[in-house]
Amino acid sequence: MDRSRRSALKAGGRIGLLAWLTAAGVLPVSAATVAPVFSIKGVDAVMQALGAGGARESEAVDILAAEIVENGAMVSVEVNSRLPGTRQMALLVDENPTTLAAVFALPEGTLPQLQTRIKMAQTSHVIAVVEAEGGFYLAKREIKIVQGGCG
Amino acid sequence: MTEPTRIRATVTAGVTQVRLMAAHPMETGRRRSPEGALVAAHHITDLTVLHEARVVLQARFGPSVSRDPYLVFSFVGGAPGETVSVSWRDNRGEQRSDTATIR
Repeated sequence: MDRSRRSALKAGGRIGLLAWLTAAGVLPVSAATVAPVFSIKGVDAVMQALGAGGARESEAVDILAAEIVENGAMVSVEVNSRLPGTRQMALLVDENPTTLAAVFALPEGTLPQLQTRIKMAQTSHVIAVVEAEGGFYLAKREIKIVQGGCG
Repeated sequence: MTEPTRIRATVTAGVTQVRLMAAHPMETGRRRSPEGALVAAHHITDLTVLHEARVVLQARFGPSVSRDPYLVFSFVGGAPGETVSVSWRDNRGEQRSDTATIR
């Protein structure tokens, strides 16, 4: 990985997720390159990299998912935010080898409600980080996994 | 070779709901083949959804997104006959775009 790409991404973390996404979007993708933020381990470190270090728990963010899931290879998760100006959502899995699962940028007009499917290696907290008016917020939910699905 | 993304877009009361499933193995790089060799990481890194020419969702994925990534979301606007398109690229530089018509 070259130096300019690395520093561009580092800088992106400081100036906010939206800028980071924009910057990352225009960089060329080379073979086997994974954006550094996806290779960071641990919820706190990933949140720092996303610029969301000071995120507060909010009851206006919901994670909808089953309490117990048989197969960790496909865990259906929905994130809802009732916070005005929600423009970013990120999904983190505490106990996964890759903590950050996905980051979504929601342009104006896109509803702050997303459903997707993620892999979970084992029972873990899933954390939804939302950027809205006034900063970053989060919600946490434990999902129990019968059989892990990270291959 | 890549397979088409399945896209369904329906408009109700001025809000378009998009359901999509991109065909992709989403290999983490940690799985072993039956012969015991590590299967190389191969997963979508970027996925963008457009309504006509306007971006309505931009996603960045790591390998923790499930095989054949599935997304459901909605945006304000859209009318029957207009288009929704989904483009992705993966960590090997493969790319794909598919378009559906809003119903």
